[in-house]
Amino acid sequence: MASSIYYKGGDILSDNNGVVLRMENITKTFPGVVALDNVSIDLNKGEVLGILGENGAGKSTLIKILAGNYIKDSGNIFVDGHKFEIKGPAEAVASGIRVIYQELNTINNLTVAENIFIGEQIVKGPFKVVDWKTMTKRSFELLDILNVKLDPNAILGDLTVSEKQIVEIAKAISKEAKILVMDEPTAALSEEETQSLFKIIRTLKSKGVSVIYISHRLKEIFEITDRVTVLRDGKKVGSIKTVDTDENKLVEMMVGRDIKDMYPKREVKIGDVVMEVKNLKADGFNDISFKLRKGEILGIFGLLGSGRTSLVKALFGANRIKAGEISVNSKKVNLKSPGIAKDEKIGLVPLDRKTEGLALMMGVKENITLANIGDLGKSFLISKVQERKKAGKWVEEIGIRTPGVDQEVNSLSGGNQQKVVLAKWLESGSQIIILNEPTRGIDVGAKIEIYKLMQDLCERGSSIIMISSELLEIMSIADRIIVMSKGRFTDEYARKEASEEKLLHSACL
Amino acid sequence: MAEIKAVEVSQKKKSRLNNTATLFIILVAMFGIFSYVGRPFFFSRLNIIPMLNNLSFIGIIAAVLTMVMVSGEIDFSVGGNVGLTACLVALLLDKGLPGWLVVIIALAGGLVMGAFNGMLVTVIGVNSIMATIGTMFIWRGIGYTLSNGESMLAINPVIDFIGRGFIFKVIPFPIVLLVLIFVLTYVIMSHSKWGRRVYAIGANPLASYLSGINVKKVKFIGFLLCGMTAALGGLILTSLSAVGMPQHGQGLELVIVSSIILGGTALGGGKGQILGTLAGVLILSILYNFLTIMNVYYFYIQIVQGSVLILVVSTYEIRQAMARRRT
Amino acid sequence: MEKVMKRYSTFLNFLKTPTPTLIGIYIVMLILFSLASKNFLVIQNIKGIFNNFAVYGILSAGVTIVMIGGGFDLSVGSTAGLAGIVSAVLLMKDIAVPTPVVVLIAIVIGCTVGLINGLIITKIGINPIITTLGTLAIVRGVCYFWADLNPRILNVFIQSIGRIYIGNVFPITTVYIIVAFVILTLVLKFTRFGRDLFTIGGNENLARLAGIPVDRVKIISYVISGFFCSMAGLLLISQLGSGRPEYGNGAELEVLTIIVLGGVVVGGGKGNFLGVFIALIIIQTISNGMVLISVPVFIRMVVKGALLVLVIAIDALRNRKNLQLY
Repeated sequence: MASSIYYKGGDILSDNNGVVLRMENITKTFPGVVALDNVSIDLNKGEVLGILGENGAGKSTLIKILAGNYIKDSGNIFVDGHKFEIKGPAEAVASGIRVIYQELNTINNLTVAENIFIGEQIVKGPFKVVDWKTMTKRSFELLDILNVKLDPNAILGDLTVSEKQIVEIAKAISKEAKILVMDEPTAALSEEETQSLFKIIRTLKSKGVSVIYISHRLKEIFEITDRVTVLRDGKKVGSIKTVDTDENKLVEMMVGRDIKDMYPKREVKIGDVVMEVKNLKADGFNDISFKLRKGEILGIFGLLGSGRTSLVKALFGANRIKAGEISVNSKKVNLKSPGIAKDEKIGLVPLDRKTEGLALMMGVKENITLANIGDLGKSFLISKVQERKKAGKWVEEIGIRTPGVDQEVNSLSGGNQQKVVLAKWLESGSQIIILNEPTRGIDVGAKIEIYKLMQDLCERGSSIIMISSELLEIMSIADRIIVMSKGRFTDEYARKEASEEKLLHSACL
Repeated sequence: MAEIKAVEVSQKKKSRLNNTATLFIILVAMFGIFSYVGRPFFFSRLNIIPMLNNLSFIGIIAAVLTMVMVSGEIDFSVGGNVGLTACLVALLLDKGLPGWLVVIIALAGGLVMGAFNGMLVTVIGVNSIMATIGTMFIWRGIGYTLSNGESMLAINPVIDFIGRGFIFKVIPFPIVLLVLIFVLTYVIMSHSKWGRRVYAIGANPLASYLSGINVKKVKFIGFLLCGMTAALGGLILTSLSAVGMPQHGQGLELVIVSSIILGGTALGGGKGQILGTLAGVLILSILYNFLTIMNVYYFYIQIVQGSVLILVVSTYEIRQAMARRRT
Repeated sequence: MEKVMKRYSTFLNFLKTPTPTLIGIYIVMLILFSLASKNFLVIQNIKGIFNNFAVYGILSAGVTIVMIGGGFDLSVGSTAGLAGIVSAVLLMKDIAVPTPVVVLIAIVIGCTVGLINGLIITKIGINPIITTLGTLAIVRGVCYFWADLNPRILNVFIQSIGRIYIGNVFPITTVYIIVAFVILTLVLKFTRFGRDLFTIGGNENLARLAGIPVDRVKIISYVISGFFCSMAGLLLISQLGSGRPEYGNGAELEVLTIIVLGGVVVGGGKGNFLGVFIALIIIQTISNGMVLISVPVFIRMVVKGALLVLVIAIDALRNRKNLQLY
């Protein structure tokens, strides 16, 4: 692999004083996949370290180990030079490690102030009485530092996604933090909010706080980090000072191969309109119209909370449509349930395959035939012969690596699990396949296969709607990109016109 | 690149088979010990036939409740259903209705009770444990109201036959029903499309829904069948005891749910075997029968029943936790 | 982006809870019952209310704590029964254990059952409903060890605790309930235990991530529930004048109805004692009302079951986020 030539010489320590955190040879395996393979990172005092990697590179696993959320299989962690065994979240918190997770971790029934001080309420007096007044005051100050006007007494359930994310950030900086980890903190933030976040990061940095900043938005990495560590497929590719590198180099490190090989795009002949959506409205979005053509890959891009997942669900009959209409092959359809969507030859590869896509404790064959149980034999009984034949066919055709069709899907790797979900819809004969973040949590090899598979499908006359927050991916694979913000479509770009700046700008409109 | 670790393909299957097999070995051993300790009465026609009859109505309900539990729901109201059905049967017989009509009305009543539970769970979205604990009290309350809290004689040729009749002069009719229902549920759960949907829903209701399966319908029908089978159980018990009284089936839910979980069905759904349930029912029924014939006070048996429930679920949870640790 | 500053206050947040609706329902009920029955005077009603319902009120105090933390406790009726009968036996003439020791033993019994529930639920990880359903049966069975003793309560102190009226009208049990509810309200609002309980009920995973000792907090909540079972057990033998193994039978049904009606969400994270208090009065009023208009006893049973189902159905409808899809 080309990139490993460059930075093989281990870490280049920045010239700051002192290593605050050293994670050494960390390894973590899950059933069927090595999530982290001998990964080492160093973090200096007052440094912002970017951790960069594609979906499934191991970033989240690494910080979950640091936060005491996962237990590592092997390796050592040193904080301030002392070996540190993290047994649980409480110890990580106690030693000054603060994490802002990618998934929102707020409690909707409680107030902003309480969410900020979860687990560490301010108490006073000999009886350790919870000091609401001080908590409210401190929250107000924190929110003020973050330059947002939020009432500390507001109930969290009433806030928007980006406001909730700000509360998360306030929570992380509420107490003296030694190491602050931010896992995609800007996923739901507007440009302006991102800038105030950066201002805070700079302030914290000047106070000697070390920050680990995880993002796959390269623009942000260059703006805020001092040094970047790149992970790929659970391995460390290398570390490099941000000033010494450029976007192309980083992308190469991340992808590990030529960008053209990573995103193999074929030109497919685009045909007639197969799906038309007119003024669609449902919970989470409003007034959405678009056309999908035969053989086309339509990309939908948007920030967290932009309504993209609600839209996907509505297109699959899993979110009740309030107004507007959907036609498939020029015929108006009433998508009341996924069952009806399935009959209209629509398939959905959902956001979270483990909770939405697969019955994990069942086998490959049961999962592949899940949407078509009725077709397994003529009588009310299941023909096990037919079942094996059907499942076996897809295992072969799309290259699902499994010891057999009886294998429990739980033990397959992410990429192969995703292929099982896809096979389910292929078995169902779906002509319109909706993929929500199709490459989340799968390794590079499987990713490329998924991209190829998507295009194979298009060549065979299917159409694809792909939702992705990975800019590189969506700009390379989609023929056309529609940007969503606050439940509306804001802009539309052809593949050739799209750029990171344009997409992010449109996503904040 | 992350490759799949080769995992022994059929290991999972084998271990599950072993579980049921182990249960049957325990069953045989228990039976042997009890026959010895409880000799000569335990292993005599005087005990075995009533024990099997008793076991039959528990088993019938357990088989169908297994389907509900595999789909990830539960029905605690079966005991109340039995009580209500018993009173209803006695009352209708008292009013002079013909036996066959009473049977039909009783089964229809079971369907209505099942439909009510199913509606609460699938349409309104109430947690099934809570919903059926509530309806358990309602059914029993109605039973008390119908009977005014008293036991009523329930004698009629048709009803008598259900619990005390014999096929070919030797095989008790309840046993025939038991075998029939177990064969039926076994075929449904292990070999039919419907059964596959039930397992899929239990394994992951959201993924099943997003694969176009009508989750609500499958669950609803599960409750419907469970209600009807509980009513059938009520008919058998009424017939066996020749009386209908509202206390019939009191505490039954504890025994049945324990049996099912002992048989290997997961509380959260997705896993479970009809044969396992059969083994569970046999083991616990024989245990309780043994305690009864050894003259253990009813309320102390209740202690055993509660302990068995907690023990069985604990064993399951601990085994799960150990399996998680291994991976 | 324009940000609108929102004003919130504890009072406004309170208005969003179901409690104000409950108060409204109660007022309407009082008016209706008063119109329907001449016997149903407001004062009379409030006076009589807590004496019968004291036991349920005391039990609700503990179970509310458990439920806010996302737990469940069905074993309270049995546990109260056990604490009651053991105390009654110890108070018998030929045993004659000193009263303070009896009270202490009652407390130990309740807290032990609570501790066992808590340990099984947190350390083994069994569903709390199943666990407490099991302990309900076990503890009730244990009560029958003393079934044939039939102890009478002659101890003056125990006799009086459940029967005193302040100024001959106001039952002391009402004071107990109010004191318990007020103290627990303060505990919920002003101690870290209380706040952590809400966090755990709201999102247990997050609570763990935030370093909250989830298991310990939950176990404590079950012990608190056990403690109130002990108190309820003493009240039972005081008011009924004897110790019987079946005391407290079915109390879980009443308690559950009261708490869920009071706006404590099944699954945890939401709830307040004012709501539970009003629910207690409402359920009591319905019970009294049914007696006053001579509803047969068995039909009352049906109504109570139906009420529970209704209340949990409303809870489910109110708290489901989207349409029930599957």
